[in-house]
Amino acid sequence: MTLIIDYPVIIGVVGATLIGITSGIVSCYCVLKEQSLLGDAIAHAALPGICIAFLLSFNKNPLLLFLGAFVAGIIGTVLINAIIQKSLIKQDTALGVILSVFFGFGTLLLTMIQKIPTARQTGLDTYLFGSAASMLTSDLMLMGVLSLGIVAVTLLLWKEIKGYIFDCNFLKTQGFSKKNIELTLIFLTVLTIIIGLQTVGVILMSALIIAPATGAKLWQKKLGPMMILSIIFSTSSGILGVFVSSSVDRLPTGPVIVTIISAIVFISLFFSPHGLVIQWVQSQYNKRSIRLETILTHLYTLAKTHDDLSHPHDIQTLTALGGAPALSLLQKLEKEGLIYCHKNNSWGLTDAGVSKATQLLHRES
Amino acid sequence: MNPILEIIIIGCLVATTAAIPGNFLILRNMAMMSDAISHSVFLGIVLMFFSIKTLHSPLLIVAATATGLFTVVLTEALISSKKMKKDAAIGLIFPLFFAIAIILISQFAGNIHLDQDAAILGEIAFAPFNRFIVGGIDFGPIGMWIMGFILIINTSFIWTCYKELKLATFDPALAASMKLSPKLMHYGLMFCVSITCVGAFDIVGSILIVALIITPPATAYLLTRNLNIMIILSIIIGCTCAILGTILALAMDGSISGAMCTVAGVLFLLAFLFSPSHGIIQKFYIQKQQKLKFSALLLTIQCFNHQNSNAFEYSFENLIDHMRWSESFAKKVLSYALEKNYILLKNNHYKLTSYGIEVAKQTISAS
Repeated sequence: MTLIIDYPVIIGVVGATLIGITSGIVSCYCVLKEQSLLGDAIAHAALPGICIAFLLSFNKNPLLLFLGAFVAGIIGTVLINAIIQKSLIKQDTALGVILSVFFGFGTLLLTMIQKIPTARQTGLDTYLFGSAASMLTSDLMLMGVLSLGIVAVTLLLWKEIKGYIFDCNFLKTQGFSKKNIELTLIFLTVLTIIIGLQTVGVILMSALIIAPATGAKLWQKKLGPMMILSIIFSTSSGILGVFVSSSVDRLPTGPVIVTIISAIVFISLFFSPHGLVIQWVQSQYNKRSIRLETILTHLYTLAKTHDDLSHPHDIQTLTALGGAPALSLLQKLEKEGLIYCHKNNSWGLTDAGVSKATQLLHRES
Repeated sequence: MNPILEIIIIGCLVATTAAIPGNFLILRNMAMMSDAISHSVFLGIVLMFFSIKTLHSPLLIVAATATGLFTVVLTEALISSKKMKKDAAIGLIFPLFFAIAIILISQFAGNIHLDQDAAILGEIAFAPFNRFIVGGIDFGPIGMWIMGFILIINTSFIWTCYKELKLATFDPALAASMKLSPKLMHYGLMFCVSITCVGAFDIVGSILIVALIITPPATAYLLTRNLNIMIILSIIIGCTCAILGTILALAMDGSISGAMCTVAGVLFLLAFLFSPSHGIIQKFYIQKQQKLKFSALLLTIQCFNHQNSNAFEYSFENLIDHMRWSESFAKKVLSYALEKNYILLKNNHYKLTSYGIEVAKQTISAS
């Protein structure tokens, strides 16, 4: 495995960076709005658009194919919303219907195109799995312009978008049109997906819409930092993916990128500050400290029946009050100087222990 | 047997097998789970293929079904960790599995026929070439037997657990309190979906099976509110897709499974527009009628309240001026009211009939 840096790799890296930036941004909208599967649907719905654009023009001009995919994506999204609003069908069913039917129609057209002799192998099927290597400088120019547009719109409409994501009703009371912002966001989402299709392909594009923000959300709770982190995640996995796939023979780019970004999400899931490992450690610590406090208060309650508050009690008595404390817990308390060992299995509170126990009991009451 | 007839039979089998569990998926709001399962099943097939080096083994089906169920378990673990929402959890696992499968194929499959395109698109047209031959006797295409077997599994599960499934779908809390274990029903259903995706994998491909699982039941859902009828309707719609799809594909010389999905989409659209009970055209018509009826009642009240006012209050211009109706709408309301015998029209001025006065009084007292 050697690292090769040549023209296709540079093109791939630039492309992956652009896709990383846009998908990082849009990912935040989709995940926070709980519409992440919309990305999956749009990516699939774009296929017939690409095919029709090709059938109408008979050339593989990227601008035309982009346009076709874009129109199909918008139609798909509008249809999904219409189905949800005008009938009793739920969101996930509407997504599934549009996704699969559009894709099926696209497949029908694709097989027809492949049988046209003049069409030769158009490379339309790169849209299925994506291929960073097949990108041209002209593709990059188009992607660059569109990405710039997406970033600009996000910066310009930052507070409106924020309002739309977190408190729609508040946004409406402030006199903003919810509909317009919603449409803008759909517009941005469709654009992002179309940009990404050529590199990662129809099926894996949904991962780039879901994973970056899902990972970033585990580290950051504020939208701004979250979005930056999300962009960093998707960009770095994109660039890394291009490098890895160019250095290993016959390794497709899209799946590598998706595997890397998924790995990032799973690492975040376990090791981020809000992650599962920290959560587990915290809960173990809490359980332990509660058990330590219980021993102290129990010993205090027992000792209160005697004149001497440091009167030792057998461990069996503590068991009667609810569960025998583990020896390690008792030893820990002893080390902290809160209790002392009188005889074998007989423990009493020290002065420090008494004051700590009263403190605890006061806190509870 | 004629290969086209065989294709249609296999298509109908796939559509029926897919539609049966699909009904419950839709009602339980888990339609996208079928998308996730159908993609991740691919990984199971690839992994098993590498370990036993053949594409014709029942073990392949077992491994793939297990992967499908594993996806469900993993997705649910992610949801219950509360770290991400349902949609994100579904959309995170299956692209990863699919990506791993493609990487494995690209690295290790070499020239062996386990084509990525075939995995996604499938080709039912090749199904009749794979014959099931025992002792020199040709029993028909092997795909037909596999789908038939899976159909029996699905039908027997839904048949035996019908009322449990129904209850777990519509009232999971009650089902749990009656010890019917919604969890077991859930995994049983997921098993059906997985095995359907596996069986249909090389026939219609991993994405298009989703169309057959979701779309016919969704179409049936637009037409009826009765679960029994919905299931039967979805099967009929599924078979229609298979038959018309094959014809369409032959006519257009394209992918048969793609054409089946296209037909499914068209049928869904037709139901969405023209369903007698829930179609949007019907709703639109009812809304129009209600608006007209309400406006006519408003007209009677207006006339009733202005019985002794000046002549302008009875004129056609008044409706446009005071009621803010458009000219065409005012005309419509007037003709509706005339037809209903609420009013009489005399040289461009209208007057309430005695029946109209009665209606106006009733409407006022009702409000």
